[in-house]
Amino acid sequence: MITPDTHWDLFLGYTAFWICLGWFVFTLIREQRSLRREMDELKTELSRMTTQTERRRVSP
Amino acid sequence: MIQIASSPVTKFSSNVFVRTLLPPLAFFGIALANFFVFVVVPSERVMGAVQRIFYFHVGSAVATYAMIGLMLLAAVCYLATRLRDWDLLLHASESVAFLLCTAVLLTGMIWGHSAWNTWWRWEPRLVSFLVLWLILFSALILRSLTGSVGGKERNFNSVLAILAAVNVPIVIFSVKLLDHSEQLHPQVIAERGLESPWYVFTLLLAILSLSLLAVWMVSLKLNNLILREELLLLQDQRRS
Repeated sequence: MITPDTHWDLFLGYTAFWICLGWFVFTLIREQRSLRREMDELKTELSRMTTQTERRRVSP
Repeated sequence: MIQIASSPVTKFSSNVFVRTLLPPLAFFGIALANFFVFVVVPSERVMGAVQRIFYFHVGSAVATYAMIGLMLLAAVCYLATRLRDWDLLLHASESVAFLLCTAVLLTGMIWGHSAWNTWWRWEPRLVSFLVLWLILFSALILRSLTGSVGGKERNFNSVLAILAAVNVPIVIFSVKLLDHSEQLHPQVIAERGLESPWYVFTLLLAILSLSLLAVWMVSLKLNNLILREELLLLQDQRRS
């Protein structure tokens, strides 16, 4: 049956569908960026700590 | 640096095709499918414009089944080898399968509201699909509650994945459980309802592009999970 709601339901269905998928992809990309940033910071900190430890070993 | 450096799972997540070619291919496919759905394919005679939900409703259902196939593979490999990376793949495919399963339910309900004048009916296809959604939901809830740190929780998740895979043929054949006059869910493909070649082409395009998108989403989620594992290792290293 073609009701006045038909186009509204199609719009609603499509919006719900793409909001679900778009939100998920957006969240994943944002999470990946934040994880990479955190990892880079941690790696820098670790390498700084290693350098400091080596300096302490070398200096009397 | 990390124990999961060269497993098939990490090879998949760092694969050049998956990382660089898959996203544009999936987006191009989806854009093309949308063009066909709204511009090329004629409106269905009885239901009108709302029938156009069908292409992405069925497309995401097929992509859900493909993701559950991936879950089954990961679960069986995890139970056989007890390697952590198979559990990571299971987690990633579980999340994407749940998302697509939710999309199928939502679009189906909206389509049903227009075509059947009701949001929901307790008939075999809908109930079996709801059961599938509940299995996936419970697996994700279990992960979020336990963090899947222990072997027992991972085993339980693998068993849930196998249960979801067992449910898929039940969902597919559930429409045959009752007589056609007693249920509203159509059997469009089985009854050769797609007469115009454009219907078939658009449906296949939607299925293909959504499956590609699903694989890309699994690789994204998998990358995040691997990064999180590496981060935990680095944090342990800093503490020690």
